[in-house]
Amino acid sequence: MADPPRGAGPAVPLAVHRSRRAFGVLLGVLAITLVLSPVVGSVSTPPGDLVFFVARALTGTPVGTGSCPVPVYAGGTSVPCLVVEKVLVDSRLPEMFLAALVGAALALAGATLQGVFRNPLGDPYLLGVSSGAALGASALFLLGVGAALGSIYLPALAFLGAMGTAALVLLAARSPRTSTETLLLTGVALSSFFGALIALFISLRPQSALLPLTFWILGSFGGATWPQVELVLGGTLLAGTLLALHGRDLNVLQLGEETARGLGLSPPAIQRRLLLLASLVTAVAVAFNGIIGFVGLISPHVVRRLQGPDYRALLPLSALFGAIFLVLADDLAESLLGGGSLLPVGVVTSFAGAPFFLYVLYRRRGGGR
Amino acid sequence: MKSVDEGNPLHFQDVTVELGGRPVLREISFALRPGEVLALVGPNGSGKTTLLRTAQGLVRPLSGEVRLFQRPVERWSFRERARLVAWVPQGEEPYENFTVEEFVTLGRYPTLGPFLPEGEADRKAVNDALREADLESLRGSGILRVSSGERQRALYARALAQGAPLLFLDEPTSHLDMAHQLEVFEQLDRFVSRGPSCAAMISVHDLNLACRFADRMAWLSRGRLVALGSPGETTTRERIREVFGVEMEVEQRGEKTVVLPPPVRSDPPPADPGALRVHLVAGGGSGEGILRALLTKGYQVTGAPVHVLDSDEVAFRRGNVPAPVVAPFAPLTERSREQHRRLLGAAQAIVVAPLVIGPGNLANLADLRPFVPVLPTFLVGGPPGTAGRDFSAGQGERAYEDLVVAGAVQVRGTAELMALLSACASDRGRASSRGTGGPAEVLPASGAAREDAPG
Repeated sequence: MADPPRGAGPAVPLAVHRSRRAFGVLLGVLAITLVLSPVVGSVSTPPGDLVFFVARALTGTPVGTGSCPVPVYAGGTSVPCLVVEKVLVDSRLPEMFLAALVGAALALAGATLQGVFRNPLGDPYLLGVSSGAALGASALFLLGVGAALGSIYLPALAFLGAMGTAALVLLAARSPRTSTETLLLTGVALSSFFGALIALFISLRPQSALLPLTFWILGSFGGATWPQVELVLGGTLLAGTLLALHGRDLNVLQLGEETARGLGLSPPAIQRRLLLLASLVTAVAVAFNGIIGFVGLISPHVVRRLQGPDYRALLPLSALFGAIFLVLADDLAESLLGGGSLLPVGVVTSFAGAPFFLYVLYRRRGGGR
Repeated sequence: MKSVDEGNPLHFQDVTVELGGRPVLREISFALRPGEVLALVGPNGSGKTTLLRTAQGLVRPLSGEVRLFQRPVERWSFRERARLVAWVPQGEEPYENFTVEEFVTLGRYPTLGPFLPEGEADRKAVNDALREADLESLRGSGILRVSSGERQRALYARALAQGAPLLFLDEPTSHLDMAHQLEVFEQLDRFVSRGPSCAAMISVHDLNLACRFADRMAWLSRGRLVALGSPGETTTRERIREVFGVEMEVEQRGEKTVVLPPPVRSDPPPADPGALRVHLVAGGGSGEGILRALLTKGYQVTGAPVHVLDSDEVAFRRGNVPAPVVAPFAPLTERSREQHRRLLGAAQAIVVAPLVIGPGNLANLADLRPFVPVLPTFLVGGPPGTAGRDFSAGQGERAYEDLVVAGAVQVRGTAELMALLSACASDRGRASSRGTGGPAEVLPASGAAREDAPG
C-alpha cells in the first residue's frame, strides 16, 4: 500500500486515484474474460474462428448466412463453422452476458445489504429475497406448469416471489420500532420457512418433473436468450445506477444511526430505499437463472480488502468483480465435465468461491490498514 | 418566550422530555452564549446526553421549546441542523475501516449532500481539521486500527470539518488519559474563539476538568437543572453532595476551583498492631515534612486540631490523617479538644512539630500534658520562645517547659525523630511479642540518652 501523502493535502485524494486505477484494471479484466470465454465451453470456438466471426459481424453479414472462405472446423469436432457461429451468437454470447450482468447485480445487492445492515454476512440470501424467488419458481412446478418451461412463467413467478418477499421485509421495516437486526432476522426466518415449503413441494412431485427445478435452484445460465439479457441489463442498470448514487449515504450509515442523524441523514428513509433497490436488483438477477450463491457475499469483501471500504468505489468495483467472477465460473461450469454435460454454475461458485474467500479472508487478516 | 436575549445560538425554554414514559428532563431553561464552553455535569442518568440530543432535535420534547439560532429546532431540516451543530456522540463505533482521512471527510456530508463531489473548500476543511487534531501523519491509517485516543481525535476532527458554529460533545474524555483529556479542552478553547457565534457544550464526569476549562457549568440532577453559572460560583461542597451524593472538598486555588477527595472522619483508625500509632501536633505547615516521613515509613498518624485551610490541615487531608478541624483563625472549640483527647488516648507516641504557638492553638499543648508521662513524646526543634515561635506572651514557652519536665524528649530534626520512633516501634514489637505490650509500658528511659541516638 502506497504511503499516505504528508503535509498539505493532495489535489485529488490518493484513494480516488487508486480506485480509478482499480476500476480500469477490473474493466480490462472483464473485457479479456468476455473475449476469451467463447473459446471454452461445451461448444468451443477456436480463436481463429472467433476473429473471423467478429470480422463477419463487423461487415454486417447476418449470422449463419453466406459461406466460410475456408472450411473452418471448430475444435476438430467437425461442426461446420456457420453452426458454430450460430451457437455462439444465439446461445453462448447471451449466456456470457447474462452471467456478467447477474454477477454484477448480485454483487451490488450484497454490497448494499452489507452496508445497510452493517453486517459482513450481507447477501441477497439474507433478506429471504432469493428464497422467495425459489418459492415462486417451485410453485410453478407444483402446479404442473413445468412442461411449459422456457416460457415466461418461470421468471415471472420467480420475480413475483422475490418482490413479494421484499415487500414483506419492507413492510416490517416501515415500523419505526423495527431495528435493522430485527429485519435481518426476519429475512433469515423467511428464508428458512420458504426453504421448508420448497422441500415440501419437491416431495409432492415425481422426480422426473423436477429436473428443471433442480437446475433452476442450483443456478444455471443454460438457455439464456437475448431478450433475457436485455431485461436483466435494464433492471441492473437502473437499480445499479440508483445504488451507486447512494455511495456516500452508505458511507455515512457506517458511522451508526446516531452519527448519521447528526450529519443530517435520516437513516430509516435511506435504508428503506436501499433495501428496495437491493431487492429489485436481486429479483432481476435470480428470475431467469435461479439462485447463485456466494457472488453477492464475497465480491464486496474482496474489493474491500483490496481497495478499502468507501462505498462510492466499493459498489461499482464489486459489480465488476462479481461480473468477472461469474463469467469465469460459468466458463468452468461449461468446460469442467466436458462431453456436453452441464454443471449448474451455482455449484461452481460455491466450490470455487468458498476456498477463495477463505484465502482472501485469512491472507489479509491482521495485515489490514 | 421572547424574553431571553436574541443573540444566543441555543435556547431552552421550559423543556420537558420523556423517554419511554419516564421523565428524563424536567422544565429545563437556559441559553448557550456565544463564545462559551458550557460543561454539563451530573451523575449517570441525570439527563446530560438527553439534553445534548434534544438540543439538536434528535429527541422531541414533550413540552417547551428548543430554539437553535432563534428558530425552533424542529423547523430546521436535518441537513440544516448538521450545518449548525457538529455532534460527537458517545461510543461511536464505525463499522467499516475507513482511513482517518475518509472518516474525517464524512464530516462534509451536511455541506455536500449525497451527490456533490468534494471540492477545494471541502479538502481544505478536512486538511485544516486533520492539522488541528494533529492527525496528519495518520491520515492513511485505518480508523479501527488507531488507538482510542487517536480515534477520539478523529471524531473531533470530523466535527471540525463539518464547519458548524456549535459543537456538542458527549463524554469525549471518558476513555482518554490525562494528557488527552487536557488536549480536548484546549481544542475546545480554540474552537470557541474561531467565530463570533461559536460555542461548545460538553458533558463531562470530571468536575476538576469542568472547573478548570468551562466558562460555565450546568449542574443536572434527576433531569433538573439545579445550578448554572461559573465554576467558582456553582461548585460547592453542598452542591456536590446534593447532585452526586458524595462528600468532596472544594478549594479555591487562585482563580480556579479545585475539587478534592473527601476528608476522613475524626475517629481513630482501626488498630493495627504492626504499625506504631503516632499523634502529630502541627500547624502553619510546620508538620508537612514530618508527616511525609511518618507516612512513608508506614506509621499510622493522627493529628491534633488544625484550622481549616491551614497548610497542615491540607496536608492531613491529603494523607487521610484523622484530625479535628476548627474554623480559620478561631480558638480551639471544646468539641475539637474533646476529639483531640480521644485521638491521644489511642496514640502510642506523640510528636510535636516546630509549630508557631499562639492563642489559637495553645490549648493543644495543654491537652498533651496528661499523656506525656505515659507516651513517648518528641518535641521537634527548640523551645518556641528561643526559636521565635511563641506569640502567646510566654504562655507557649511555659507549656513547652511543662512537657519537657513531664518527660518529653527534645529532638533536633526529622531524621533524628525517625530514628527514635523506629527504636520505639521495635521496643514495642519486642514488648508485644512477650505478650505484655501496651502504650503505657513503652516509656523513654531518659531524655539525654535519647538525644545521643544517631540522627
